[in-house]
This record gives sequence, C-alpha cells and structure tokens, in this order.
Amino acid sequence: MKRRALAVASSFALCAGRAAAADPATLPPASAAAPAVTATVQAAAPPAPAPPKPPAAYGDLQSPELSSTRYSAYSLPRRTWAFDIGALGIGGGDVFANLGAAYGFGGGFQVEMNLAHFGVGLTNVDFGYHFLGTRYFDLGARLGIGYGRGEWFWLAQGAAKNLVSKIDLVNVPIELVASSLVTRWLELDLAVHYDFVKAFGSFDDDSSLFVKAELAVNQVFLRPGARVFVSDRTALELFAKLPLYSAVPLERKTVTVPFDKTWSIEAGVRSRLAGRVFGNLRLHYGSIADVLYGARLYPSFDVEFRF
Amino acid sequence: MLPFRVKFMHGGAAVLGFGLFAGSAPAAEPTPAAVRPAASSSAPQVASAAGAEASLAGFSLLATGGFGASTTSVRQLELAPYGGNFGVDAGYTFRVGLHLSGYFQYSLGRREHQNYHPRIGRDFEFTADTSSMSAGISFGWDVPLYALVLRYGLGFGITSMKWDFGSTPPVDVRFGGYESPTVGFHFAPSMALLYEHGLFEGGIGFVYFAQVNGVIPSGFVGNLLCGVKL
Repeated sequence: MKRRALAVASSFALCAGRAAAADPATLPPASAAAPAVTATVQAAAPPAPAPPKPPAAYGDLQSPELSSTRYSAYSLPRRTWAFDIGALGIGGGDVFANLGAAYGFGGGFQVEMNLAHFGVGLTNVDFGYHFLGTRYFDLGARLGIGYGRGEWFWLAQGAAKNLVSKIDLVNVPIELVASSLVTRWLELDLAVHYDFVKAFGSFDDDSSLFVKAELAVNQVFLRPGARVFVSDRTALELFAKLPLYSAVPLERKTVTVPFDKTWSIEAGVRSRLAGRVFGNLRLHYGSIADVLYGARLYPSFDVEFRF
Repeated sequence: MLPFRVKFMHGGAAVLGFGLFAGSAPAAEPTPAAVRPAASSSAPQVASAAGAEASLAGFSLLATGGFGASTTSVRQLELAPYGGNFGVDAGYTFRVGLHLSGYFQYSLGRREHQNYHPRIGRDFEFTADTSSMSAGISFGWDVPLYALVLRYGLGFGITSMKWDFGSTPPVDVRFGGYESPTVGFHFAPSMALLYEHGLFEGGIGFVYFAQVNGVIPSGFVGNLLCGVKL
C-alpha cells in the first residue's frame, strides 16, 4: 500500500498532470492517506526518467506539410524550407541538374531557386502563391524570372559553345495552376503556362542549345496531370505538356515550332522515404528529352528534404 | 554532346550520392500533420505502412532476368547491346530503409541488320552484332507498400559492350579508333516492386542504363527478380 502511494505521489509530482497516461489498473482508489505523504515523498524520491518521446506523426502525401508543390497549386507551409537534389530534368527550371532551394513564407507564398544553375551561367527564381484553397479545389499562380548568360554556359562544347556564348537571354514564366482532390486517392491538376523570352545578342540560329532546351522559346502550353495516392507514403504521377504555341524569336523573324517537337509526357513515382525526405523517379518521353540527352525516353530523379 | 554528358553526370552522381546518405540521418523535428479537409473525408483510409518498416532490414540475394532495348542510336547506327539479359543483385537493407547493393548483368544483345548512309559515298548494308555486361553498386531506398516493398535505386558502374560489324571496317561506320569491347561508365536509376514471404523475395522492376560513353547506347531493361531475403 505504501509503494502504491509512492507511485501515485511520484506521478502527480513529476508528471504534472500526466497521471492519466499511467495504467489505471495500477492506481489505487483515492484515499486520504496519499495526499498526506505527498510532500515527504516528493523530497525523497529520485528523479524519474523522462517519459518516452511519442513517435513522430506524419500525414499522408495529401497533407499540407507533405504535399508536392511541383506542378500543383500548393505551396510550402509557413517557415518551411525545402531542398531538392536531382538530375536529368527536362523542364526549364530543373533542366540538366537540380539543386533547388525553396522557402514557404506562409499565407500561400513561397520562393524557389535552382542553385545548380548558378554554376553554369543560368539563374532562375520562381515565386508561388496559393491563393485559393477549398475542400475540393485549389488555385495557385507562379511567376518566375530567369537569366542565362551564354558566355558562362560552360556545359556547351565546340561549335555549340561558340553559338551559345553570343547569347544572353531573359525568361519570364507565368503559370496558373488548378488542383483538385477529387477523391481520397486522386488529385487532378491543370496548368496554363506562358513562357516569355527575350534574347540579346546574335541569335540567328534556332538550333542552339538554349533553343533546344526550350529556354529560348516563347511558348503557351497546357499541362494536365493526375496523381494517384496508392498509400499514405507513395503516389503515382502522370503529366503531359501540350503546347498550344511555340515560337523562337530570332533577330529578323519568329520561327514557330510544331507541336510534335514540343509535346512531352512524364510518368513518375513519389514516395516519402523517411521523415520529411522524399524520393522521386520519373520517366520522360518527348523530343526535348531526345535533344537534351539523346533519347526520347529518359529518366530523371531527385531527393527532396523539408525542414 | 559527349563532354557535356560526362561533366554533368559526374556532378549529378556526387550530388545524389550525398543526398541519399544525408537522407539516412534522422529527419528534422516533425510536427503532426494537419490534414486537408478533403483528406479527412469518410472515404476508406489508405493503409499505413509504419508497421512494416521494421521488417525491411536484411540481406537480399536476387537473380534477375528480363529484356531490354536501346533508347539511343549511336553515330547513326542502331545497336542492340541489351536484349535478353540475366544477372544477380546482392545487397543489404538497413532498418530505416536505406538499401546498398552490388549488381551484375549480362545482356545477350542481338544482331541489327541495317542500311548505312555515309556522308560521303554510297549506302551499304551491314549487320551490327552487340552484347554487353554491366556491373556496379547501387544506393537505394525501400518503401513499404501494403504487403509489397517499393525499391528506389540509383546505380553507378561500368558497362562493357562487345561489338562486331562483320566484314565492315569500323572506320566506315565512324567507329574508327574504338576497340571491342568498349568500356564506359553508366549510372542507372531503377525501381522494383518486391514481394517478401518468409525467405522468398521476388518481383518486377526496371533499370535505365544511362551511358556516359557516347559510343554505348543507353537502354531500358525490364526485369523479373527472384531470390532470398535473410
């Protein structure tokens, strides 16, 4: 009886109201003796070990902390950093290599940069704003600015280097994207994207690497997509890029690029590997993959960390 | 394009290797997720895989077999060093999900009869017979998926491609200066869906061999996997 009283007293004194966590079966009925010995026991009892930390609780891939901001209307939660390390992307922002850094300011605002592009003479900053969030429908906008200095684009070699070195360009992508969680396991996305490009310098060859990488193409395209959440940690993703208008603004004329050279599709898998670490593997099919990497079918991958 | 690829891929490999290792460290202090309203609907909840994580750890030895195809042409040539293939994959998965393995694959390849259009001179026909061997190490991550395991991977290794153009001199098809077998580095993103039952482990998967040496075509290989997990 004395031990039970000690246990109760320790629980009350050290756990500060967490006695409810103790096994109720071990608790004696309330008695008048227990309060009387509390003060004595409190002084004599050794400090009890801290209660075990509860396991981390994560939502699924639809929760705001873990949802993908790529190609969706969503943005990072407030005071959240995201770092993205990957390679072989084919989009303007993550083409070749990706060392992305993003930060969520709250209120639906976020900013994102690809630090890897700094090393090759390219700069791009994207601002995102998730301005409408309802139960089944969300809207977001993206505005970016990119600058490419051909002289610093050391990746190009030989004749391509000579061509590219004469070109500087400014790229302004604007995007409106809608996301809808149609069901518990399905999300649909649709983006309308416009790329404005202004090139400076000698720019008479529409076969240069900048053009082929679609970094120097004025373009309007739709990007429908779907995400199927097959478990709380894994989602399948399918997106298509459907250009409505593509044109290369040369010095003396504008050359339109046909649809069959600019469309592409991608299928990928996104998983939460551990904690707030995510893995992505995608397969791309399209002409741009052929131009950039020599094959119409090509993989890309990245690992994302959120803090 | 070759120098560009080499420079880029070395950088990408280093960056991703660091990323995968960093991912094995404990994650930052998490906060309970606030699920969107739609996610808390009355529809059936998707399965939580947390309980399966403890069973990820262990050695695995897998035999692989499948079929692959080139995704690139090399100097206007159609080469098929993949085709039917078989190999082995041995590795260890840590409790957190990190998977380290080594792999070897022999691809039978096949003969490609083709008409070559030289820049100077008349067209001619010839047959390119190629096969390949690939080996390397792979960094991956196992993710529980209901009763299955989804294994992401990124391999780094070497491919050796044997080629034989018959009586056609290599220099006539712009292969002058190269000898068979031609060796080059590759990196290989992969994915597999595995089922484990007792000691048995098996499933399906694919690997994409992205070749750094521009003379060896990149290829996509689909595989069946079967083996043991200890």
